[in-house]
Amino acid sequence: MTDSGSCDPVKWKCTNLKLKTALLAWVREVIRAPLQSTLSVLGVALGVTAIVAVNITNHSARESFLAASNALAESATHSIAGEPSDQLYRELRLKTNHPLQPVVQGRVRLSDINDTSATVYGIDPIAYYRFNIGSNTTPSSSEEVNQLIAEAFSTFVTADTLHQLGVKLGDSVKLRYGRKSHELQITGLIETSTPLQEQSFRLLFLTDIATAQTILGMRGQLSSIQLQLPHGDKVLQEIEDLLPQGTHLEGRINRQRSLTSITDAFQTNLTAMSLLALLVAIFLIYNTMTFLVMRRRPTIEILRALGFSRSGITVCLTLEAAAIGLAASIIGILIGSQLAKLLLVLVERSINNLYFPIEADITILTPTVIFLAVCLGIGSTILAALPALHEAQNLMPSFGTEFRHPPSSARKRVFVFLTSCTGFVVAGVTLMQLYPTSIALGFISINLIVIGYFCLVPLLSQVLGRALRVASKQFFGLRGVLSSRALSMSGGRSSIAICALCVAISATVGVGVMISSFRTAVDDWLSDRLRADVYVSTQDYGGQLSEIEINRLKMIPGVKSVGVAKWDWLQGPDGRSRIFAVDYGEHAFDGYRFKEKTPEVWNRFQSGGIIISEPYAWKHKLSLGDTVEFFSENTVIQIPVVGVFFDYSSDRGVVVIHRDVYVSNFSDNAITTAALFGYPDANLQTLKHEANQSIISPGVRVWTAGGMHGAAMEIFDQTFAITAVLRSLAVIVAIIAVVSILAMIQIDRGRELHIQNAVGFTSREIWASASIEAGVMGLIAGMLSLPVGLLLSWLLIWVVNQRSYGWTMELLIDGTILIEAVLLAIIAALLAGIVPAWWLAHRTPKQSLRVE
Amino acid sequence: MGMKTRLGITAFIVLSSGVAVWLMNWSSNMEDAGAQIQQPVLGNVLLESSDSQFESVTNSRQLEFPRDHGSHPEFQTEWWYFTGNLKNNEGRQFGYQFTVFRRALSRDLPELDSDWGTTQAYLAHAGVTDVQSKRYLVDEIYSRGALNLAGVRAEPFSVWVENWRADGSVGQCAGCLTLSIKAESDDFSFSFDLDSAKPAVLHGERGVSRKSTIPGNASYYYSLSRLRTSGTLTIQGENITVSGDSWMDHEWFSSVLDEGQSGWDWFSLQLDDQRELMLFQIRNHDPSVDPFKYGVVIDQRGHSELIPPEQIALTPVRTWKSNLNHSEYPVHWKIEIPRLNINLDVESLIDAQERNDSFRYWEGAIRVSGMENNRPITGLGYLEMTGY
Amino acid sequence: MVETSQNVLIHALSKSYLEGDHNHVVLNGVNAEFETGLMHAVTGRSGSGKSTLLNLIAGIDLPDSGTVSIAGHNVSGLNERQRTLLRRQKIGIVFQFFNLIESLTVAENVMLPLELNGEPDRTQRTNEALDRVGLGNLSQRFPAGLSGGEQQRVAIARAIVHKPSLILADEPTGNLDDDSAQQIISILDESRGESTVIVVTHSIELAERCDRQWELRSGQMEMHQP
Repeated sequence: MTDSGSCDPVKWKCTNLKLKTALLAWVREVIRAPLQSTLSVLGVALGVTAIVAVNITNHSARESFLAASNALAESATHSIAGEPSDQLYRELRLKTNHPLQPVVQGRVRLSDINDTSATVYGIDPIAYYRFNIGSNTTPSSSEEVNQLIAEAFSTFVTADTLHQLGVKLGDSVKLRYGRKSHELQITGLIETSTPLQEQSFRLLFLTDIATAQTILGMRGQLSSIQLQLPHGDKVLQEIEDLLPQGTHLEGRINRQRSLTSITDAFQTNLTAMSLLALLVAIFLIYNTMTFLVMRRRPTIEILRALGFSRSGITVCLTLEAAAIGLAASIIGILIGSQLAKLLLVLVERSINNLYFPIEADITILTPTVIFLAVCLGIGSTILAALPALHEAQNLMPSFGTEFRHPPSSARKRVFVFLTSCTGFVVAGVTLMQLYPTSIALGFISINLIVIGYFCLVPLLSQVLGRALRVASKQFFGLRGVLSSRALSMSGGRSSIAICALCVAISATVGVGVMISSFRTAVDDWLSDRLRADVYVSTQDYGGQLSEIEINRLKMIPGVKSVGVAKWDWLQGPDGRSRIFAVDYGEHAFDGYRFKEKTPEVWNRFQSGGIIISEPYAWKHKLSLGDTVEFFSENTVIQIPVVGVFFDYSSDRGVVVIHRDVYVSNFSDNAITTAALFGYPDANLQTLKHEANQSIISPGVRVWTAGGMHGAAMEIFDQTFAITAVLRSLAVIVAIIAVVSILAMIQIDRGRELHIQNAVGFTSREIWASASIEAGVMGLIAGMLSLPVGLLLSWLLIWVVNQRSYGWTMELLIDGTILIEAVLLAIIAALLAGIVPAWWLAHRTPKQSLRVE
Repeated sequence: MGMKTRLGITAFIVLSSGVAVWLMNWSSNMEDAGAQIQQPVLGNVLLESSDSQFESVTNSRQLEFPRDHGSHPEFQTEWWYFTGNLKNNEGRQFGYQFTVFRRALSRDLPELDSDWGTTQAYLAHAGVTDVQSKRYLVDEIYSRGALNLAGVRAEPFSVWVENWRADGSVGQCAGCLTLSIKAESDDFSFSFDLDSAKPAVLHGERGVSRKSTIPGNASYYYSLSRLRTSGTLTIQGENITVSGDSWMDHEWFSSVLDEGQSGWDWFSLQLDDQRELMLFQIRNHDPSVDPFKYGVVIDQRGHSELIPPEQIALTPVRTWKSNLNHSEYPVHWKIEIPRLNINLDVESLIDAQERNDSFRYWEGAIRVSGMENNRPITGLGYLEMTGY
Repeated sequence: MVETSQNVLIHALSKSYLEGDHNHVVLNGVNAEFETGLMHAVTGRSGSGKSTLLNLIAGIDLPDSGTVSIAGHNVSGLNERQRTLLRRQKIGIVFQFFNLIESLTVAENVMLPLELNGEPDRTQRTNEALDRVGLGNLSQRFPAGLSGGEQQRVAIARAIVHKPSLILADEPTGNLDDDSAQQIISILDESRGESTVIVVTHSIELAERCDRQWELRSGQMEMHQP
């Protein structure tokens, strides 16, 4: 090998990137096509918007929840039951520094209104202030509240109660307790903010504690003392040491727990939505960048011909992607924070309707969110641009036009799609098998499986597209072919648009089917379980029904039998368990649907076995034949599990024991619940009324089975209403995404459409053709989203529900949900297609033919 | 995805077999209602509204001790106020405040078959200033005047809210008291013995202290201007033996401020030469209207002499901005009393002595220095500023 | 001993493409030596492999077998980056369609190779090149405002501006009217000497102006002596 002096040596070293003119070309191209740039930025911005909005909402909702839960945490954590005395209260005030609240409550009759039963609820407003100190105090009407103390026999009621009594503020109401009559003057209103509150305050007279004691003849006596205690056994012990015989301290953990549950649920839900948004955003960015590369193709080819290096092309495209990402991030942050406000209003509304008032008007744009948004905007744009960059690097100019496409590419693409699909699905399924209990990994594996499916979407849409092409040629001739041509082209952007729409729609289907399955399961479960006609239950900790009351209930005409039960907690070596000691008779046992049971489960149950709910079995890893241990006095009692039943009442699970077994083992024969079974012809409302009249204990509520069922389902529906809102938001984002993708496709095809125009297609025909195409894409997306939607709901039910809560339910496919989903997809795509189609149809052919 | 299940599920806790405890747990809902009805009981309404059912301050009453150390429920508002400057044996400086406020919610006790029946609500404020480490710690407690949880007694003297209390017996001189004061909070506690060194000083005209030109806007007001004090102060776990001098005020009224008046600046100065000065001015919303002023000087033997208002000049020198709501409190004043040829500088020992619990005011230890007839005078005291 | 030559040497060059299941052989062992400083015409029917040959010479595509040697460098032995640099420094390219960058002015388009090679006096040399093709007055215009012939002259100016040793032109007169074609032929004519010029053409007139005429037929190349 020699080198002659006459031969110019090639400088193999590329000293620096010669970018100036190339960048100039790039920038000019961006400026020359503002619409494209706008669409590109919009595409990415939408993704960022969704992320930012969900993130802020998530964060702000959490803050609000925390604020709310802090306020509530300062409310009662414990309660002293067993009729404590005034003196005990005084002693506790002097010996401890914890906020206390004395409560005196009892049932009275309203003499003027058919002797209707009502509640007098006495508190000390001054203790109340201290009790709630630290939460937001509004000193606006302190004088008014002080009236409760200052004016004997004054009371506050809700507006609803006022209406029910047919009186107005300032009027007096006559009430009777035993043989004594009193008159209460209504001097103020209790403001309630939720229907549940409203209901629980019905016919409740809030008075000063002195008034309540006077009316109820309870001088020196309290119904309970509510406490706010910090965590720690030491504190509890200190309090317990002060309690005299007959009184006892009870924890009130339900409320705290439900709060954290609500927070968790929102977190999970919103995070899931943000992941969905991310997925849509990635599709968008990928699409946008692919489109950009295509637009830049001539320039790239010429530059490459002139000896412009691959890295130079990469730098140009990366810079462009980064610029788009940055612009998109800024826009995304701006729009996202606004969207968050809207979202937050919706979240707040649902929460307020349902649980407790929160003020969620704090939208917090933290540096973290901004950082995240910018990283996501720029980072994911560049990441999602990688395939496009790869494509751009392989772009080469060519002499002539022959054999421009490597013939193997279509097959290769099919191969790539199939392998990645298989890869994702295998990874997802493996993960699920390897970690059968992890919730987080459960989510991840679901996502992997779903992404795996989406890898198939381009291929499936191509197959469907070909079929449609044949069909439409049959029916509509060449016009039909023109309308479905994009779909039959391999791996085009149309399949990305379909994918994006598919993601959104399948989420709709998945969540929709899951919810409807869940709803049906709960509905059935309630119908099964609520076998009695009327339920009478204590509402307060430590409250109970007396024998006299039970006997009175039995005497009510139309009542066939009365079942009794007690709710309690039992301590065992593994912690506390919620226990339901029931004796509703054999008939009521039919209400339990068993997942597994021993033969003659009823007999075994009656003679000393327990049945446990599915979540309890899941949490404690129990099945038939195992035993559960509980402490009783100084001994440990072992009880065998004779059945596992389906139950949606609690994610901690519940242990059901026969009352006789419970009483003999734990020497507690208190009753908290009575179930009235009526004769078939009994009038439920009469039964309820009579039951109400039979009750003398304070804090007792009477329900018909139907009323309880209705209330429960109402809660269910309200709960999932938020999900519906979030879901539709995802669909809206997807529609906008599809608009931008379709717009790009149409712009891309500008020349072709104008040739059509030139050969004699009218603008309207072009418009129609483009719209039909969009509709067809929607149809395909809708159809393709059904299997994955069902897969998703199946996974949600079997993986997430099982893992999170330990309960299972049947997958029930509601046809209307599926049809709605397809319609939604078509409408979304049509909406998305109308704008660009209109824009195209109104451009003159001259404008676009000139370009070549 | 869409896992709202937990939310729905919590709703069904305990629903099983038909117990709706959770659903309708009204006790918890009561708490929610509490969020809407909870109110400060005394708080910012302490000085508001003159209810016609209560008596107003007139000149007809002759103050008598120990009777008038006790409560006057026929007047709406009343307070017993203790402030003092103390030192440990190393000379480390501390200030303290102990106050019990009484507020009548109505005039008459209703007929009720309950020990909770009362017309009185009580609020106690305690505070400690640690000059060296610039700490200002405060706490408060509320109670109704029932079940012996809060109350006042003239003989033997007691005023208390729960465990916070001042108990005493009659001393040698007119209106004199020997007292013990106790208050306990999470961050601090104190227990002091007080013994008055001088008889009670009746302010204004024989104890009727006018607050504006409108008749009836006045209070019954007397002070024990110097009480020798010793005891123990505990600040965040540290026990400190202290001694020094305290000041006690006892004041009751049904209405004090005019509509146009915005707040006051009140000085109790205990000079090292064993004289005391008490000065206050009541400011108006309209700064062009001159404040209503009052001043008294008490000599070594306890004789008091009124200072004519026109002979009192109170000029803010420096202000401190509260970061709570950006109120600016003058924490350094120039006091001029031409008639006595006294020029004083009064400055806070630490600036941040603003209370922010039920109602906001600045109550803090101060130091005094200046000249009287070209001879230097020094001392310590307390400054109270409201309405900023 | 390998012969070292500035000539473009083509040795046993083969290239085929898959077309469906059918293997379409385009070049089948082509041998040729394009002598330095001469203008060569390559003719042949559509699909005879003319453009493929240019792609292989330019290093845009790689042969199945055989070698292309430019200025002593075996093109197929170079990696992608080296081929790019070879193209940048040694080769000027004129496509059939007027491959100008739409968003750059005429002058900027012409200046690109100079900038890529980091050469000095860019503006002056650009103006010289444009003057040479007779378009000095249009330097600040954008390609879209030029006629087809003018655009092709700009492309030639860009191909010669950095004085490459080899100019490859694909049907440079294919789409042009007679007058324009004449101008193009004259410019290419003038460029020979400092560069080797290889022109793929159907134009008999252009082919006849060349020093050598080659014809591709059935995957083989024959030289017609003038």
